[in-house]
Amino acid sequence: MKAYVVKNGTHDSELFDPLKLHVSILSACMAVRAFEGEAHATAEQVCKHVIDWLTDKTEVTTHDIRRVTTEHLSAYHLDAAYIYDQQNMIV
Amino acid sequence: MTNSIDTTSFGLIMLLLVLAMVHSAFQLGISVLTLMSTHVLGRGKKAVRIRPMIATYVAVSILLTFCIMLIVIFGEILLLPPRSQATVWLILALITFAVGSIVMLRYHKPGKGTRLWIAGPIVRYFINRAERARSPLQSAKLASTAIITELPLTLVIFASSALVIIELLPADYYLTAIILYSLVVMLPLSIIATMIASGHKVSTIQRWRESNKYFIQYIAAFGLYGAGLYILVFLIGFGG
Repeated sequence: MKAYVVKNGTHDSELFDPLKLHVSILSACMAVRAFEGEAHATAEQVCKHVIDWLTDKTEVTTHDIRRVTTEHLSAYHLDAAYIYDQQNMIV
Repeated sequence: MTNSIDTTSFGLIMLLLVLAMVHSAFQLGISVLTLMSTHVLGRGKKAVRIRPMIATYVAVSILLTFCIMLIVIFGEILLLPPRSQATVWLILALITFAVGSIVMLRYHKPGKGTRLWIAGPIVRYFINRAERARSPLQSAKLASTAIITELPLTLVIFASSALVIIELLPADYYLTAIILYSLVVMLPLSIIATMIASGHKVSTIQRWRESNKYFIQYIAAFGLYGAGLYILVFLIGFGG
């Protein structure tokens, strides 16, 4: 899987990093006070879904990643999905 | 004006209360606190470690509001020409109407979230600093930046409230009035901070803020219009 992620503001692109996604999902889960084990398990499952979605893609935007991640995360943890989606819309 | 002293004092007290409540409705400080808490909690810090950062944030916000009010009051005492109060009230009323219109039309951005109409670089600054905040000192810097960023809108409220305090109270009571004003203004921030520190989820708080953002915005705008109208009719005497 070699999908490139184009950043929304700068239009720079970088190779998709599953670890970065895992950390951001983990952070969203911890922010809503989920248990650490639950947060890690949730992050792992959601990452798998996103990686599956990326299989046939060569280039996506950060907005796409956020949208798909939020969609899958909401099936596991609604509050974490909300915070993950809202992170850049609080200020 | 033919109002009795008591009615005038009561009117001024109500005006001060309305101004303090409108001031407390401004959301940037609360947004930045929520964002910072999201990132700090997201790093897996236990709630007990976030408490010093939140406490510092609230304390600095109150302190800075107090200091700004103190400066405005003494600035008005020292700089306003004698017998110019009617002119000053007129200017403040007009600016209050202008700020009320700005708040009505251009405070929260449309769409999801609780985004405000602030310049992009400033928003990015807050997002970056909130993400990197790891100590009470950094949360203090965030708090002071948030207060200062909102000054273009809140300065007229500071100025009007200061003038009310000068008219209403003898000099011995200025400090008490400023302390009470700062505490009232920062009450919503203190409540939100207490909720986060005591274990409430930031998602619950943010959902509430998102669903009530326009209500708060319009209440603040109408509060400003009401204050401006009161100043024009009762303090300057238009139409009377």
